[in-house]
Amino acid sequence: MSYNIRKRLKNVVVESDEEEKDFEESASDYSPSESESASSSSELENSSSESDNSSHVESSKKLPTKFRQDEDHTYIIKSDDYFSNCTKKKAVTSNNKFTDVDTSRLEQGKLQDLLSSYNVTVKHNKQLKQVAVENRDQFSKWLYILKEGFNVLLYGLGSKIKILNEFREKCLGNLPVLVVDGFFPNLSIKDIVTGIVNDILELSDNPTNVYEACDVIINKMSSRRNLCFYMIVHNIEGEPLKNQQTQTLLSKLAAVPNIHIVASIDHISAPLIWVNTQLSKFNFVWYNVTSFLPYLRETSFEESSIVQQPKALVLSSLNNVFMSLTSKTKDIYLIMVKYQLEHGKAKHYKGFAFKKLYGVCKEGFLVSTDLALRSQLTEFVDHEMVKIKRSNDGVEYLVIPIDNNVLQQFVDKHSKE
Amino acid sequence: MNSVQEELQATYPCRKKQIEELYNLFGYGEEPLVDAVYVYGSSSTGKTSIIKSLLRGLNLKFALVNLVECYTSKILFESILNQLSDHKIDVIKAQPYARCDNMMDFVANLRKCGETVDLSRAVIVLDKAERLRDMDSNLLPAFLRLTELADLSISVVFVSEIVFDNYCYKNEIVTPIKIHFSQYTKEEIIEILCLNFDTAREAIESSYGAELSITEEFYRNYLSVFLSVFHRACRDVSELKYMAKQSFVKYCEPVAKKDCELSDSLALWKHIAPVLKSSLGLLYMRISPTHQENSSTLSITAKDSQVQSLELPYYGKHLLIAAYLASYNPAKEDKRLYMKYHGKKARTKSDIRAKSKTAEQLFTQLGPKQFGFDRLIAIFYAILEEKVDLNSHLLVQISTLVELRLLAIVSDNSELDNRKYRCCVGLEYIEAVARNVGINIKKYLVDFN
Amino acid sequence: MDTNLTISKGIFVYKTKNIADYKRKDGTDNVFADQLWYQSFKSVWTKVEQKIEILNDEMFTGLLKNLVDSVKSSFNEKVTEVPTKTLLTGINMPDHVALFSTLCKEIKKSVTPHIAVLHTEHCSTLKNLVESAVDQFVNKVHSYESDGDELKSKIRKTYCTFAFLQAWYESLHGSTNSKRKTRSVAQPLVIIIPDFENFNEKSLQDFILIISSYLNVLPIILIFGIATSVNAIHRSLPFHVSSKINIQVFNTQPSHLYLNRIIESVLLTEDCPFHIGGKVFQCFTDIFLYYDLSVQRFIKNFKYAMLEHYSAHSIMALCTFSHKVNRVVEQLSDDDLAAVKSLQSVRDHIEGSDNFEETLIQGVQHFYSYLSMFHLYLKCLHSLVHSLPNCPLGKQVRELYSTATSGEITQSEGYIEAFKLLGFHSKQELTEKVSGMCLILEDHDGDEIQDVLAQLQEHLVKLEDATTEVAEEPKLGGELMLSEKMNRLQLKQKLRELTRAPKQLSNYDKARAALIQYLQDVFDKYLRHPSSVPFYELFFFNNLSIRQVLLGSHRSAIHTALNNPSYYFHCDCCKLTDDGRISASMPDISILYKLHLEYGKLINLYDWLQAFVTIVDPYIDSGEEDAENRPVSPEVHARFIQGVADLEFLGFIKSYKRKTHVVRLTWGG
Repeated sequence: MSYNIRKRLKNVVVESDEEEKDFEESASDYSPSESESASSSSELENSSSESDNSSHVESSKKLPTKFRQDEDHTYIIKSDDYFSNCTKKKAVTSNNKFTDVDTSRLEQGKLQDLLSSYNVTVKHNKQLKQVAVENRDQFSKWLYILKEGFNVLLYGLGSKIKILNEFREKCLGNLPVLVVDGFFPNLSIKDIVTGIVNDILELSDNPTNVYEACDVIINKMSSRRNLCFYMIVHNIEGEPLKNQQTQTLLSKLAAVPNIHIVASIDHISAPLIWVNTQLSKFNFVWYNVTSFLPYLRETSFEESSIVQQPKALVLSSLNNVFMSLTSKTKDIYLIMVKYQLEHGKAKHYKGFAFKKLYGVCKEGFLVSTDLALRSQLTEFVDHEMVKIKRSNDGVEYLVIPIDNNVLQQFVDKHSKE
Repeated sequence: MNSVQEELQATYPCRKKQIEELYNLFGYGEEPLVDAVYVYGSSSTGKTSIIKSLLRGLNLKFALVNLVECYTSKILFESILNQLSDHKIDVIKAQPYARCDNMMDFVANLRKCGETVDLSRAVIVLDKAERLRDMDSNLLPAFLRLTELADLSISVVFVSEIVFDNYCYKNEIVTPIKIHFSQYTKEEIIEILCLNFDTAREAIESSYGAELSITEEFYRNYLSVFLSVFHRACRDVSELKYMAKQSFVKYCEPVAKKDCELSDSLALWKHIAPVLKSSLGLLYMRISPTHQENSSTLSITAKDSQVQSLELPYYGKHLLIAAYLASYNPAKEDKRLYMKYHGKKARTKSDIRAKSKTAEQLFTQLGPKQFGFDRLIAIFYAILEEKVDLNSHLLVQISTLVELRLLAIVSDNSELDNRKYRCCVGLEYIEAVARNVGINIKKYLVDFN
Repeated sequence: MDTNLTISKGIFVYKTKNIADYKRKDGTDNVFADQLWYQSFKSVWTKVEQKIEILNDEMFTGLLKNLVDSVKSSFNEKVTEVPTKTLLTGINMPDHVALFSTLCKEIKKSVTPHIAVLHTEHCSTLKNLVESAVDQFVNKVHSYESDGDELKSKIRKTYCTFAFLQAWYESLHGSTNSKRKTRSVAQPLVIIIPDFENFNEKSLQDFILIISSYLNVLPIILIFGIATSVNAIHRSLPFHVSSKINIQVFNTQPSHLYLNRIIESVLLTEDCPFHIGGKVFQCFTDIFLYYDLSVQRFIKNFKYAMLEHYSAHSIMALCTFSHKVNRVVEQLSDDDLAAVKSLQSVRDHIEGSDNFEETLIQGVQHFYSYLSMFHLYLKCLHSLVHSLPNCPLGKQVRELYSTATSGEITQSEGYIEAFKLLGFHSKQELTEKVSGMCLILEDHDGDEIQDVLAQLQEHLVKLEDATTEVAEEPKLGGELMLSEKMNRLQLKQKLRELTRAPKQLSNYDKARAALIQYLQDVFDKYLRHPSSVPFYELFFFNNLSIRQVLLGSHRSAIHTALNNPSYYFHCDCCKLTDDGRISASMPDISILYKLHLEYGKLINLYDWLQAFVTIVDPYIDSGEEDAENRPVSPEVHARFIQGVADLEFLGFIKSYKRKTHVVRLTWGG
């Protein structure tokens, strides 16, 4: 069998290079090659008896002993595809507009409704159920492994929220668990650490510095060996968690023997967030739990290109809040909006630096002290009109999380007054 | 000229003018002190040491603060007050003399301190004063007028390496009296280095025994030889002092071994010239040998210390090589270099011109360019002999290479998509790595192809 | 089912009782703690762990001796720069934790108790750096040790400045008079930075400047752990800073030497009954050499292999120390015994007997002796072949082990080649090697071993006496009669005859051949492949699918799922003969993925939608109406949008500034 594949590969490669076409049928260039098992085929025959000792010994335990895949599927990239493609200068696409179609933009709520009425798995219901059962069989194994100082990482196509919830309900029923939704955009490591300190460990001492708080947790858990708690992190590579600081802290927590982490990743380049030291501290064991379930919940937060919050709602809510502000506050906000409209199109637009805003406001006599401006900003943040981000060099940047078109309309309306 | 001045002149030759100026400002007890003095000059020209010695010699109360230490202005204020009031920090409670959060508190506390301690002729010395630019903007103007603010006769001396005009200030401020410590000339440096003659003689005696007796004349000759090589590269006196000391022992070696006479300067020069030239590469690096190594030789040359073998894992090496190729080859050439059947390319005029590129235009001589993650992976697979699947550990390797500063991330670190990198290693290093894994890197470099 | 559908929080806590109510056994022990096999596993693993720790201590203490001595003597003479020791640690950063904790311990033991360890987290700004360093000195908190000395009264971090440090140090050790020529500093302050490359350069530079300004009052020594090379220092520190420190460079051993020691002393000995088979061992070594050079990773992989092995079946409880076997056999149930009987190796080599338990015990003990002989002779073979040119069998014991457990080593090419080469050795070389082998054997008792030893020594004696002279014997028609006129053909024939005549062997040659033959016999006997010994499945783990679990190929899993979903479904409707085809029965996301492969960098959403509709909901009735103008059913539209959102979430596409297109992020199939 492997010979045929290789033969086909050769033909295909020659074909595609001769024609130098675009990506037509480029899917055929790739075929999974069973590299390791094919090359050592002779040894495979000899030692086939020992390769799967579990098949001879009947398993009387609940632990799954058979591994699902016998072949190693591998993803080997054909560099030639890349190089032949990079000479293409311009991407030629048709000009058909997606907006031509009537129901071009679907709002989030409507989408959910439509999808719930359509049973996504109707085509392969039976097989998906079988896949789900196979995945569930591994729960006891995960429990076993977690106790021995390893942490579990789940990967594979499809939303893993369901299986992680099942795991929590079935196996971690009466144990303390902290569930972290990595896809939730307003999360921060501070929330996680606070959650642990306050809710799980119920300590009174909660230092503001995350590193100190983390040290407190580690000291407590190391000194009390009879305690343990679990963390279930959905999408550990999620938007708010993928920075170095968070991963360092999470890995420090994971290295403690009584803290157990079960995490999942989805993004294809997720492992780029880790460095060797962190990966080693995490001590992950990788399990494939492909489920083919759609990412309903994970994508309900993201600013997807075609699923978005209805514009009208945003503008009206913004107007309402704006009307309730004092005139000075209004001016401050308008300054920020104008700045964002002007500079927001830049590639790495970080935001409006706080110090700059302070300078401008002071010159315009809108605020007198640093503290006053900060309290105004807190008000804005509460109404979700402004987001404060701290960059790597410790500078605070202010970003308005609203579409530029909406902001433009807003400015047009209010600067006439 | 009284004793203080004479002493200073002796310890610090070639600074006659500056010592005189400073003495005029501070030495006369009856006159009130000036508000502010700005002392500037290149590094290692003796500014801080002269001022310290002068003030000690004149028995004036002074507080010396190095502004590098003051990451918050609080530390600056509290340190000054501690020193002026002779406050001893209690080890248990760790309280300073007074807590000062800002200039206002500082001035108030200074006045309070002035009531108990005699601050009528006190001096505050602010070393590395250029750091004031990065601190709060009101510090510089305030310190320049401290006498006025605190109503005490305190003088503030700023010691800095930059010219006063480089301090950006919005409003008008008082200009201090400026004293410039110019850089030493070659002869002056020889003068200064000659002061170390005794230590040098001791060093020779300890290495070669007491038979070798050197004179000051000999030492002076050595210094002029030494400076002829080093003066172009370095004017920093302390650095030159160190290097001179290191090389002197080697210089005397042929005399000690009786190969030549003390007065045979040509032979000595021949012997010492290569050593001095290679030591130029070690300037500003103080690497001393450990116990195992032979301590009498300058064994570590510049090249050795840089190209040290680094054990990278197998795929790590290939990733690094791929990164180097991506950084130093233009993207257009990739197709020709890595694809097996890339078709023929017509020779154009630009090709012919390209062949005659001068060394400065070679890609490997211009700095590294940035490349995208996809390109890195494509080249990696192209140069890898036995393909491996793109598993997570390879990706983690890339991030680890970034952490080791062998690659640098150019794009926004928080984005997972489309990251851009740049390679940070040089050609000799990559050649060594490539040879290790059996790849001929010149085959893949446009400059050599 | 989904209980967390609120959109305001990202963190959820589930807890049934207060933390104080958790008693000892609540969930801290393993779920299988009461199982026999788990107990065996625990005892074996604990032993392995202990041995590794002891070995680490020994090794690191030896390595660090030079460094510690130089730290002690740093202030013996007057210094003008900050003494800095750089330890070139190598890039296997996870292994350094143990190294640095040993370093701290050693320094505390013999030089000074004042140690501060600064990690990257502490150094984002100069303020944090200084405060953290001073805090560690003054409040005596050591990060590498878990036993924190109780603090009497903690000094607040805002008061932790260098001035305070100076006062504190002087109160402890008296003020140091810098005018004295030589002074013996009682206890210098040591600052260790384990990961230098990661450190914020700017704050480090300022920190060094501050330290050098306090040089005459505070004896501070810096220790840097550098992963790459000394170049890293020169790159991060500008001239005016690097002229203030005096560097001494120390090396640690390369990580593969460390790995070899661990393997030889702990893992491949008869002390550890659990063994990993050749393929898995090769896989682990590959992970080490190709990916991260980290010994910690190797040990963890080994532990995981143990976990897999022991949990496969309850009879794996038999894989334990020899003194515990009897007790384990007593506790086995009938099912277990039946399972043991059905093992392949048992079926092949052991006939049925009445008292299977006794056979079992005997068999297991026999296996232990096989193992100890195996390892012993492996070491002997290694001593013979490791210095051969071209190393046909490899230079390390672990390579030999890998070959020996993957197939019959005595049949392998490398072995044959090695013995051929041995056959060409001179007397002295051969004697040396065989004496080395005898030395190894001498340390062990046992009749068989003594026999072998005796035989070897006999052979050695014979070798000594044998001469290399060839006995002169008249050759039959061997001399060339040059005077005779021969034509070419006859000359050729004569030469052929001469070469065919057997070469006269000297005594030495004979003795050597006899010795080589004896050695081969010995190795044949003892280095058999484990599968030829009964009960080996209890002790050897050779399941290569462990590789998938340890090296996550998550991208290929996604890729396979998208390209070829029948791999997971095992269904016929999606089975593809050719990967390029798209079948309507595939899941939406697969269809969308395959469609998007056909586009270039930018994908027009409308076109994509139409293609999707064509596959999923084809207009069967090819009547009058133009298929393209048919309105898209909202259901299909919703599916399309969700699929696109999913692909965006996975990182295959990205939204573009023109809302009508999306950007494709990956290339290739």
